[in-house]
Amino acid sequence: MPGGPPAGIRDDAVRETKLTEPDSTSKKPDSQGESSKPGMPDTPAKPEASGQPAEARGPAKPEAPPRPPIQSPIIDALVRRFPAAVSRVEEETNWPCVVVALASLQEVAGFLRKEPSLDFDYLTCVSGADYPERTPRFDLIYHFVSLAHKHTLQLKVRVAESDVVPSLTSIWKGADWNEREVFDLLGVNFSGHPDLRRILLPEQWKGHPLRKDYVLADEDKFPGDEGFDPEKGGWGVPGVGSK
Amino acid sequence: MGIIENRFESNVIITGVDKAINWARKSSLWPLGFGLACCAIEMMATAAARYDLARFGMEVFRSSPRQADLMILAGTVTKKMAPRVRLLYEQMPEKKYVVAMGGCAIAGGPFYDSYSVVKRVDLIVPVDVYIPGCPVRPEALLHGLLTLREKIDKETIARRPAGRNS
Repeated sequence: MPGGPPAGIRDDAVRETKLTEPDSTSKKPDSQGESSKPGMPDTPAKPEASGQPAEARGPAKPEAPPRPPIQSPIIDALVRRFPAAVSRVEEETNWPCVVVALASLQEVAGFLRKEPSLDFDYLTCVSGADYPERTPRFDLIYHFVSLAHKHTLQLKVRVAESDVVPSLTSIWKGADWNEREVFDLLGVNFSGHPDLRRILLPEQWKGHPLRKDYVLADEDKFPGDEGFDPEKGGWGVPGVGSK
Repeated sequence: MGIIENRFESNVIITGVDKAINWARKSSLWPLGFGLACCAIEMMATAAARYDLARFGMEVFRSSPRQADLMILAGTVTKKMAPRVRLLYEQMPEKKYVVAMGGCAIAGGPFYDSYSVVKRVDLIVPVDVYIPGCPVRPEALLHGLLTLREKIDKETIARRPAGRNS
């Protein structure tokens, strides 16, 4: 099986078993077998990855070096299967993480759902993040869990303001409300969504409050806020903020 | 305004009627059974066995605003919720009272500069008693409700002198 990692790979499980060990060095006889898993012969052994929680095991150090990104056979399999669309991340994440090109999102997501060795049957949440200084402005972050295999994956998509993201409701029904929330608070548009309305804010609301450049309404501004006008702001009552 | 309020001059008989009406009103305030946020948990604790709101005739939390005469605004009022709160208030029969419970209802609380929270609930409904706290402890809520009873005790159905509003 060239594209699929074996069952039973769970990155945090590996770390959990390591946490119980008193020794920090990889003296455990099967630690070598962990890094070279059956079915993944081309995965090089990553000592820094398997020895990842070295600082977490001992007493807490004040200046812990940043953890490297989590290595996972799932990531390796995805990069091999979609070399053009899937790339790795440099930053530290809590779950194994990949970045997927927007054009291939539906294809990759369908693969995650249908490939038996991956079998991501649960879409935990869809988050959105706004980086106004970056060119594709938004990040959509999908958190997948496989209840059968007990492994996890984080999937990021870079989305520009004008982009339309394919909805994943046809693959995971639970994406419905999650995508409505992202649409509501960040203003990211989805295509193929069955019911794309605001979910949290009133329907007549203007703007998307979780965007970094969202401007507060006058009655919501307080001394210290940008553009505060004492004649307009302060507990919704004109003149409250003035001296 | 109720049916008999503001129709008679103040006199000896009115004083006696006041006493009876106020006693009846304050002794069986029926709160509307709804909570908005964490203060509602304290409100439930107040109604439960340890603090026992039933001592003051208030234990009947009504599920319908048409049977309630006390609205306890227990928690954060968001802009989405505000029209519903106003609607509930207007569905309550006269004579009705409102208690703003907790920092959020009084002045936005920790959400004082949030985009989604109503900054003071008295922009939505008229408030009789403000109870500060985050959240309000049951003792404080009881004190606020007893304060409301004292306030009701001072009411009169007599026509108010011109220029006086309370």
